[in-house]
Formats: sequence, C-alpha cells, structure tokens
Amino acid sequence: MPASGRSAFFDDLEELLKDLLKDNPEARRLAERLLNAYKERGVKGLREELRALTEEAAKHGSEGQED
Amino acid sequence: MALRVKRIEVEGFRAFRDKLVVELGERFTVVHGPPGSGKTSLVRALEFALFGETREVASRLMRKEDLVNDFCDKARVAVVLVGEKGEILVERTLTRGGASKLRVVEGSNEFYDGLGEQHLRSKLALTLDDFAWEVAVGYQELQALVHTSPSVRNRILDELLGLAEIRRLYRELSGKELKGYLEALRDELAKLGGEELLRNYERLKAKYREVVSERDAIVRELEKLEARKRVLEEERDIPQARAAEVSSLVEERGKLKTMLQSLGDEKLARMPAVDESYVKEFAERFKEELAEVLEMLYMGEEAERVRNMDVTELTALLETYKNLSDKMKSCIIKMEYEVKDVYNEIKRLEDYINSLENDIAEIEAKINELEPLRSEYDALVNKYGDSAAVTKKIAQLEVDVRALQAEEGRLRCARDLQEEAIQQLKERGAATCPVCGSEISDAAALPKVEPLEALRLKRERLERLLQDLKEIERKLRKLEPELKLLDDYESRRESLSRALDERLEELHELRVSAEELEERLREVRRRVAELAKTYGQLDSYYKRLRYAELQERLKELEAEIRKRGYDEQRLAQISKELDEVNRKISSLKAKLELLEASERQIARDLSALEVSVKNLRDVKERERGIAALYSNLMAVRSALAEAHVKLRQRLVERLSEAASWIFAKLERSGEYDAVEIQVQSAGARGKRGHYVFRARRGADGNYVPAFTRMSDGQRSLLALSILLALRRLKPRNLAVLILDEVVPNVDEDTKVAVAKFLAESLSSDLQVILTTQSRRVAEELGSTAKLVTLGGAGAAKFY
Repeated sequence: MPASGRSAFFDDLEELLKDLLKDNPEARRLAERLLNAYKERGVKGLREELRALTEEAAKHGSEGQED
Repeated sequence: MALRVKRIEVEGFRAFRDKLVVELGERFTVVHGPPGSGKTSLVRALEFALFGETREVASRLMRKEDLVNDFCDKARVAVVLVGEKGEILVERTLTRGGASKLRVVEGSNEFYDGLGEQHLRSKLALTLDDFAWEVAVGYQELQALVHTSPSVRNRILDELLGLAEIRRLYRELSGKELKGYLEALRDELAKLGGEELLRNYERLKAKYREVVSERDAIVRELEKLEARKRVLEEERDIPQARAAEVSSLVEERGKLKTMLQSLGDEKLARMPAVDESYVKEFAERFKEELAEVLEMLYMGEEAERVRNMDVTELTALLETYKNLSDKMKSCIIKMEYEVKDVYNEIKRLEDYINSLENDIAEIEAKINELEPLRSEYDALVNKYGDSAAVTKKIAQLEVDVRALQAEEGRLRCARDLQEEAIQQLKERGAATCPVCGSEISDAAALPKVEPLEALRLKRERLERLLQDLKEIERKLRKLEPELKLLDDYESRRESLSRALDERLEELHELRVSAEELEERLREVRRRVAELAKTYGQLDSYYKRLRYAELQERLKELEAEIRKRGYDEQRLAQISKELDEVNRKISSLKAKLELLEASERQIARDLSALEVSVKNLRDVKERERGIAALYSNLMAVRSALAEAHVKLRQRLVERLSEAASWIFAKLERSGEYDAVEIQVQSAGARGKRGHYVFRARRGADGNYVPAFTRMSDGQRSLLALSILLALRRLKPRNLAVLILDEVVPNVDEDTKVAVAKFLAESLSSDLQVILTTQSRRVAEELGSTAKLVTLGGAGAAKFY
C-alpha cells in the first residue's frame, strides 16, 4: 500500500512545526493536537478541538485557583 | 489500499443510451474514438459513480438531471474497483427527475446511499476536486494551469501541493473567537474591580491576621497579668491583716500627715521653733491693730468683736482676720469708688463751669455787638421823640399835605376858567361864566386868583418833611426789637454770672473733700498692708507651734505602729504593684474589646468580599488560561505561516525536479530541455508570492519565462509535466490516472511520445487510462495497452 500523499504532507508539516516551536513546548503540543484533529476530522474536527481546548483552558484556570 | 478501476458499466448516461461495459487494463488502457464517441462521457461516468456528480454539475455548468441521456428515463453507472482486499462495486442511478441512488458492495457488505457515500469516501479519501485535478485530468485543467492569472494559478498549485491545507488551517486558527472570549473576560474582570479588588481583599486579609495576632498577644499578656495579680493578692493578705489591727493608729497618722502637709511640711521643718508667750504678745498687738483698721473702715461692730476676742484662741483670731479680710477689701474698694465719684463730680462741675463761661462770653460778644444801636436810638428819640410821637407827627403832616393839594387844585381850576373866559372875551368880546353862567364883559371884573407857585413850594417842603419822618419811624421801629434783645442778653448775663459764682464755690468745696478722702484712703491702705504682713507673721508663728505639736504626736504614733509589727512599706509596695497590674489589665481589656470589635468587622467585610473575589479569581484564571491558549495559538499560527513558506519551497523544489525530468521526456523538438518552478516575490511585506514557470533553452542553456517564450503545445506539455510530477509525488488511494485528450494541440509524434512515456514510466505505479482521437496512438500503443474503441453501435451521437 503506497503511503498517502496527504499523510506525507502532514508528516512534513508536523516536523517543520516541531522544529519551529522547539522553544515553546506548550505551543508545540497545541500544534500537534490541532494538526491531528484537522488531519483526522478536517475543519469540523479542528473547530471541535479548538472548542475543547478553550473549555480546558477555562476549566484549568478555575481549578488552579482553588486553595 | 491502492484501488484501481476494473470495469465501468454505463447505460442511459450522457452519450450512452444503451448499456456499455468497458473492461479496463490493469496498468495501461487507451480509449480511442472520434469526437463525440463518448470518451469524456466515460470519464464522467466514472466520476459520477464515485462522487454522485460531475465537475460540470459541481461548478453548475449543467444540471444533474441533464446527465441522463435524452432517450432514457434514468442513468445507471456501475464501477468495479479492485484493491488488495478484493473488489468493490459502486453502482449509482439517476432518474430524470434528479433522484439518485447509490449502492456499494464490498465482499458480503452492502451499503446504500448515505452509508454508501460514507464508505466510499473512506475508501477513496478523495474529493471531486482532487479527482478532477489529480486523477482524471482533461485539456481544460492543463489550460487552466498555464493560461490563467497568477492568483488563480497560485490557488490551483497550492491546492495540488496540499499547501491550501495550511492556509485553511491558518484561517481556521485566526483566534478571533478566542480573542473575543478573552476580551469579554477582560471586560468582566474590569467590571469586577480587577486587581484593585484583589489588593483590597489581600489588604483586608493581612489586616485581619494582624488584628488576630495582636489580639492573641493581648490575651497572653492578660493571662500573665492575671496570674501576677493573684500572686500579689495572696502576698497582700498578711500585711493587710496587720493593718486591720493598727488601722486606727494608721488612720490617725494619715490625718496627721495630711495636716502637716496642709501646714507646709517641708518649709516649716526648716524654720526655727518659736516661743508661745512671744506669739501671744504678738497676737495681742495684731488684734489691736486689726480693731483700729476696722474702725477706720467704719466697721465698728466688727472692731468691737475683735477687741473682745481671746488671743489664746489664735486659730479663731486668724480665721476672723481671714473672714474680715475680704470685707476690708470691699470697704477699701468702696472708698476708692467714693473718691472716684467725687472726682467725677468735680469733672462734671468743671465741665459745667466751662460751659457757663462759654455762654457768658458768647452773650458778652452779642452785647458788645448791640451796644452802639442803643446810642443811635437814644439820639433819635432825643431829636424826634419815640416812635409813637413820630407816627403822630406823620399823620398830622399827611393831613396838611392833602389840604395843600386840594387848595392847589382849586386854584388851578379857577385860573383855567379865567383864562378861558378871557380868551372868549378876546375873541367875541363877551363871555359866559362857566360857573354861574353870568355874562362877563370885562376881564378886570374877574376875581383875582392867588399865585399857584407859593402853594406848590409849601406843599413840597411838607412832603420832604413827611418822607424824613417816615424814615426816622422806620429806623426806630427797626431798632426797638434789637434793643429789647440787648436787654434780654444783659439780663441773662447777670443770671449766668451768678450761677458761675455759685458753681465755683461748690467746686472748691468738692476739691477739698476729695483731698481729704484720698488722704484717708492712703492711710487705710497702708494700715491694711501692714496688717496683712503682721497676719503673715502671726500665721507663720501659729503654724510653727502647730507643726511642733503634730510632729510630736506623729513620732509617738510611728513608734506604736512599729511596735505592733506592721510592715507598711511592703503593703504599699504590693498595693502599688497591684494597682499597676489592675491598671494594665483594664487597659488591655479595653484594647481587647476594641480589637475584637475590629476583628468581627473585618471578618464581616471579608465575608462580603469573598464572593466577589472568588468570582474574580475564577474569571482571572479563565482569562489566564485563555490568554495562554491564545498566545500559544498565535505562536502556532505564526509557525504555520513560516512552515507554509518552508514547505512550499521544499515541495516546489521536488515538483520542479520531477516536472523537469518529465518535460525532457515529452518535449521532442529539443528547443527546451528542462523546466523549473519558482516562487517569486514571497516574504516581502507579508506577500505569499506567486509561482513562475521557466524553461531552459537548449540553444544557450538559459532559463526563459515559459509563458512568453513557449508555444501553446509546449505550454500544454509543461502543464502535463507538472501534473504528472505532482501525481508521482502525491500518491492517492485511488491509484488511477486518466488523461482525457490532454494534449490535442501537439503533433502526432508528440502524442505518441506522451502515450509511450505514460506506458513506460507511470503505469508501473498507476493504472493509466488515456483517451485519444488519434488513430496512430491507438495503433502504436495497441500492442502494449488495453485498447478500448468507442464510436460503435452503443454510442449515441445526439447527446
């Protein structure tokens, strides 16, 4: 089975993003999540992932404050 | 899972009225036929089967139901795909009304319509657009690549290279919603009070901790003090019991001490002792002196009472003096007022005398002014009599003057009548008397008329006299009131002079009286002052006597108290310390109450703030989380933009290399031996740049712009090279390449070369299907490829 061109393209992109964001681990992880979402589920998946990330960021913030 | 197309069955679709079954070669198939034979329809049939529509329908160049052949009610296309896991049948029907049905069969599984579409998508991983540009490429696509505007070419190439995916990602990751959310959170933070609220809350909490800490410290201090208090109270009990036993002595001693203090304890202790008999004599003299002074002050009763006092009762004598002292002062003040009153009276009298003297002087001046008038009046009276006599004379003169005037008038009439009669006699010789009417014949007979002149002179003399008298009368009348006024002034001057003399006498008496009073006052003051000194001396003697007496008693008491074993100093020390401890306890308790009130208040305030602060912190944390996410998202976006540039460069280089290699194989003239693709104007001011195609000219080896130098056919070959290179670089699940008459504008040799290149170089990896009108291509490739010829009985030309 030939390697999917789209997959190869995203592999290249992922590799480039990793390199460009090597000094910003959080942004790198974010890029990975978003890229995977887009790769697997397209624009709809990307939007869903972004919404989930937003919810996580908001929730994480309020949890972190409790003392 | 590389899929290939094994068979296409088509019926009632576009050019195909009747059923047509096309078996395709596993590697290379040439579909040959004249124009209108259905080559493109076959490609669109495959497209319709796989995607439910064709590119023309998708781009609204035709309606879906127009895909049905004009002579049929419905169209049916069935495609058999072959993969490693076996065959997949895709069957799609379309009615003239536009209703479409799909059936997908894979092994024992069958999927219909929606599920079928879903299954098919997952197998193909391909969109219609991808299919049109990468799988089934026609002449239009090639032309679009080389004959379109740079921006459209950019879009097409970006899409083909996959870079459009990055653009889509970049667009989707704009972060607008996130930014909006962040701004909303920041607005909410601002509404909630932001950092100020937190600072207030923290300040209040710190204050609360401070108050609690202070309160605890006070409580601990209070506990220590209470313990010390208990110890001191126990220690105090023993000396206190002794104190009860000697309480009367202590009390007496206390009183003595108070008395000694009131006498001036320390001062008296330094003074020498005094003899009692001497003091008695001194008191006697003081008493006598006091009585005398009292008498001088008209306080006879008090003087008598003092004289009757016994000097051994020194306290009473001193007390009496003290009591009388104020009274004496009052009397002196009264005397002073008396003196002051006399002087006031003197002053008042002096003012009155001055006023009298001024009045007299003023009247004198007026008298002096009027005095000459009296001489004038007296002279006139002596000459003409008083005003009544003059008036009488005037009346007589007026009667005389009127009589003379009447006589004068009578004489003037008589003379006029005579003159008239004489005139008549002269004229007529006779005349009639105008008075009696008698005839007058001789002028001499007329009576003699006295001369008028003498009478007139007399009358004038009388008139002048009358005028003079009138003037005299006027003067007299005028002088009379002034002389009366003069008399008044003289009378008033006399009475004022009398009053002045009386007041002067009175003034003298007052001055004598004032001097006497002053002399008396000075004497009284001197004596009172001396008395005060004497009193001081006597008081001092008294105190010294009293002090000696009290000291004696005090010594006796001290001796008695000591004898009974009473430790007064210790008790005082304990009491003092106890008082201090109690004072501190009271002070601390008061402070504690204040602190507790403050603590309660702060706790209430804190509780009120808690909700707002919790809410604020919640929002703040959300804001922090979202801000971090937004920041990371922007970093990702920025990285995507950079990755886009880098990846494009990488892909373009690969594409350029592959396309150049293919172009060299297809371009048979040798005019150009290589091509390259470049991205120009990228990066400057955020520009994405555009793709430029260049070709290397064989004659000089220089690269020249492809669009301006190449022929139409060469440009088609260039576009084909690029698309084929892309297809090689970008494998798909559907390993099929269909070229639908892609280069109709080249010569037959080139067409053959293209076909041969496809057969030799691409068909090992891809199933290649080439449609062509060229008989030569079909003939030359017929031996190596599966040949499908259209244009027979199955084709309908009237599509």
